[in-house]
Amino acid sequence: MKIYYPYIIIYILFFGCEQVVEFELNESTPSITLSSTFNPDSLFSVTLFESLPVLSTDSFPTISDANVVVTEHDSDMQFDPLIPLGNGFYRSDFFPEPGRSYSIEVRKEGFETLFAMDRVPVDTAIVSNIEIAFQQNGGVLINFDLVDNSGPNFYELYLVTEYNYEGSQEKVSTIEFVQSDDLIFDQFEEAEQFLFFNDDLFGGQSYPVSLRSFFSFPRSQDPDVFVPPGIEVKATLHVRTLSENLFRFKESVKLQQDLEDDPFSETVPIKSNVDGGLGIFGGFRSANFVVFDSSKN
Amino acid sequence: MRILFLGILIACCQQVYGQQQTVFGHVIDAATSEVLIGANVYNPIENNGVATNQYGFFSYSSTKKQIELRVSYIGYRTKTFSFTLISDTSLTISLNRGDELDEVVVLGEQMNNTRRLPLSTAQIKSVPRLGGEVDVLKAFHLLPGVQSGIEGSSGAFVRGGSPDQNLILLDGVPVYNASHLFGFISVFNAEAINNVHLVKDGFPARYGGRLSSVIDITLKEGNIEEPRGYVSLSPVASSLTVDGPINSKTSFLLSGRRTFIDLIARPFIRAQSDGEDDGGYYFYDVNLKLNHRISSKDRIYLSTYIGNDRGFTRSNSADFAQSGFSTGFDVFKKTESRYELEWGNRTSALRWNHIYGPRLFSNVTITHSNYNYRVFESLEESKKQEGEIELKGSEISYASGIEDLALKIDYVFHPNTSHTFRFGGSAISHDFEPGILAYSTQANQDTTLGDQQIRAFEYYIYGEDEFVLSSKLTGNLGLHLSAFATQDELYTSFEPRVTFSYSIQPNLLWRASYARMKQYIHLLTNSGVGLPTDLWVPSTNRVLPQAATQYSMGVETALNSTELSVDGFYKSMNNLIEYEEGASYLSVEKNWQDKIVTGEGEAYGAEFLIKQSGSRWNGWVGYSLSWNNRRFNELNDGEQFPYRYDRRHDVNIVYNYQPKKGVQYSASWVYHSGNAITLASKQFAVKTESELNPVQRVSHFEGRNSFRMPAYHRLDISATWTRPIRFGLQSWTVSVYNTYNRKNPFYIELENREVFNAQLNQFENSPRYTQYSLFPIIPSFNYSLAF
Repeated sequence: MKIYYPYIIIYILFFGCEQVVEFELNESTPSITLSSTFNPDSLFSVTLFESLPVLSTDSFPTISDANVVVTEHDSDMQFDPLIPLGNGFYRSDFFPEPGRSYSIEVRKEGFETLFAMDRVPVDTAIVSNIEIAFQQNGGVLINFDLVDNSGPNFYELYLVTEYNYEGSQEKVSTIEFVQSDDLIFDQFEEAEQFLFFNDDLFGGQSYPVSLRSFFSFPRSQDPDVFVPPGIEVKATLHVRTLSENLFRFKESVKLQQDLEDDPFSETVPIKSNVDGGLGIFGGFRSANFVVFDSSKN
Repeated sequence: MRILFLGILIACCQQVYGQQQTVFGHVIDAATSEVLIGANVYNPIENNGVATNQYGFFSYSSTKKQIELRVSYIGYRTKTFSFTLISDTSLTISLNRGDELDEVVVLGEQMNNTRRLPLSTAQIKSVPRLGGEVDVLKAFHLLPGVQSGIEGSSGAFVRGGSPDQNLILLDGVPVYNASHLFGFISVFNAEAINNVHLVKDGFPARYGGRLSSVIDITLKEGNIEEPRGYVSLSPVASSLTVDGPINSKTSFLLSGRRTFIDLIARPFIRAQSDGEDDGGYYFYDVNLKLNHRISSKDRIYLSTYIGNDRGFTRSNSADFAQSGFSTGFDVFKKTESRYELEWGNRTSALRWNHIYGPRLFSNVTITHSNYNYRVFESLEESKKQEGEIELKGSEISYASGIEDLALKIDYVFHPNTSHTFRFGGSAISHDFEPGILAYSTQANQDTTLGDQQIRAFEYYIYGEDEFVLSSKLTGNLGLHLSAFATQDELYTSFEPRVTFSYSIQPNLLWRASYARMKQYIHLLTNSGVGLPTDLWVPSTNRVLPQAATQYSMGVETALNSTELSVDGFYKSMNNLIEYEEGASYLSVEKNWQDKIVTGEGEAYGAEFLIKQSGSRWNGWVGYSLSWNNRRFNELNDGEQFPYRYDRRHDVNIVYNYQPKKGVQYSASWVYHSGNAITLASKQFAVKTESELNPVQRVSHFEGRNSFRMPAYHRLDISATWTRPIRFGLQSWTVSVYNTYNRKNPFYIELENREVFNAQLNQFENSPRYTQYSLFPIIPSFNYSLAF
């Protein structure tokens, strides 16, 4: 909707006498940025960057010589320091466990010590009764029931399609844009790749969800043929159960990006759970559900 | 409380039945017979007196037979007369205009306990002007404790409050948006104004419904003696005011003002686009007041204001387009698009004044106030192909508004010189349209989104006693009780008000006040850009009424023609509303109540004023030192943050110099600390799922409003030459706004610009913060003719 056009046009007309000068902002001191999302399916890992002044166009410097220590909070068990593998990437030799809380401490000379804590959700999401319907315009309608576990839960949902030509080993994978009118999604007009929602409206119950999408793979000229011969297509619904910290962080990052060009919006600070630095330390559980597989249909 | 109030009333009334007699009536302008509001009627023998009310009425009682009255009013020659008071006597006292600004201040003779800020309409007109237009509200921004918003805006921030917390009354009717031209001038035409009265502390109980200030504007009644007129021409607007008698009992005032920016700009816009584009902007306002004297005891007034701002752009295009190879026919395509933005106020008041007797005066008023704004966009496309016409079109409009209808009854009872009781009440019906989006297309006819109308009812009653306990101690004790019914919810409030003044020495006055205020309506304001996108919304079953408690204390002294005052205040506010983080005004599909958060605020500070009133030099120096903070659980991680207009220092210096009769030079210099602003200071990396773009740049904000814009300062100067001519008095005013061309910050934004890198022989992205400034040095002139 372009309803703000008249404001902008009239404002520009009226304020033709505006003058523009550069505004000097004091240089900010860099902070350590922690990027660590962990789940029981992967070894515990962390990436460390340095933050940049807001006006910089440089690439983010990575920090590869920090001391990174993770502690299992419930048992107070400290793991060996994470091993730096270069480019700011550190990995441990353990898998996080569901329902456990972990804390992290990062020390690096010249920077404030960084501390964060989070928990891996206990349960994965349960999805049942998946139905898919192909539409004449090439769109896809996906319906399913999401069975919510007890307690407050926070979800991230995305749809991945993979296709390859028969006989070819090379697969093309895409995170598709999806759209829904459901109230549980605080979604803008445009379709999104990642949808975030919580269980405020259906806590502990089964909830029917409906999504629309367009699968991005070569189409047939015939509108009645959804998958052309010679192509194998597989679509998978990914549902992540996020910790509240990770949910708030991802939601605020997405909102900040969405509103970047809206002059009528309030600023969106990023919700971080990292003390002494920036970024996120968040746990999640992941569950995948095949919604369409042309090789089996 | 009721028993105490009744007791005081009886005790006071008992004195009436002593040997007390009353002199009552009106104080008027000798030339026009218009009433003078706030004139002092003082008895120097008994060292007591009264002030005229909003309708020029006074009532003075005494047990002495020999009476001396000294009647004074700023800009008028003081009149003193003595007489023997045998029985209740009605008097009409007329004062002659004097040298307007030549005034000797005697604090002990100021009979109004309400703290009145010292600006007469003559002083307001002497302040240097932007674009040659006199602006009543902008003149108040030059007083300590009253701050302006962004450059040019007429919204006032009084002692840490926001613009919606100011009750702006035009002849007793609330005006919801007092801005023309995006806030650059106020809707009040100075030529139609009789009196302006600002209250920022020690609120009398008769006022309610807002937290921070009352700006009470009274229009002229119209000259009952002879017709007169006034014409004013300036680059921003031209106005015509006429008033005069209709018959011996009825007078009128009619004033109109319009800008002609559109008439000048439109031919250029059309010429530049070969007639395809059109656009413009205009505002107008009209004031009409009728004043009819039914008898010596009864008067009726009808007062109406209509004002509107409208900006629009229109674009037409028509051309032949090859339809391509498929048909081989030409297609004629015509497109017309239209954008409009419009806002305006309508207010009306019908008032009946009745004097029951020497000591009881009443006022019954019916008022209507309406404020609306609307954004409209339409697109029409017609295609002619193979003789067939295909029409396509869509319309979108977004409207918001508020409409009030009210009945108000006020009584003033003067049992004796020591007490003046005021009591009354009001019932108001509010209709809110907090924001309705309507669109229609060929495919989707007439769809309406957003909030529907909300109706609410507000009621209040009040009682106050303006008392003189001794020659040193005076005060005002009052109670304002109100209720607000909305959406099956009933909110009530109990608002005690107390003001004391103690004369430590002659010409040294100490004042203290306490006021509890409640406000049932909110203005939902976007903190990003300063456009008229603000929404008036009511308290609902989810959004509680806002409330404030203010403590204020100060001393003032006067020496000959110089006044000095120092005030301190502390104000706490709760149930304030703000948009939540990330909320967008444009997301109309979401109910406004889902986009807001509520929190609290506090403001405190000290204000200093030195005012000089001399025959040649007059003016004032004002300084405010203040702090203004907010705390919302959902904003800034629940931490306290400075309000956008938290300005530590605010300095205003205004001076006029009259070297000889008919010549006046004026200058004003304003300085204030920079506004608080939220800016990103860092950026950090966020890993994504994308293989192409594995790291996303995200902005980090240190805290809400944690940065400061550069300080604002500006010097305005003006010179006025006034000369009598055969059929009137003509004036030329030349003024210069922002004389030293200071680039004051209007807003700051992060811009991405492409800069050519010669070494790499390519364009590179170069983000930078850019400060936009609005007004450079602006010379202007004004010609006026009073006839």
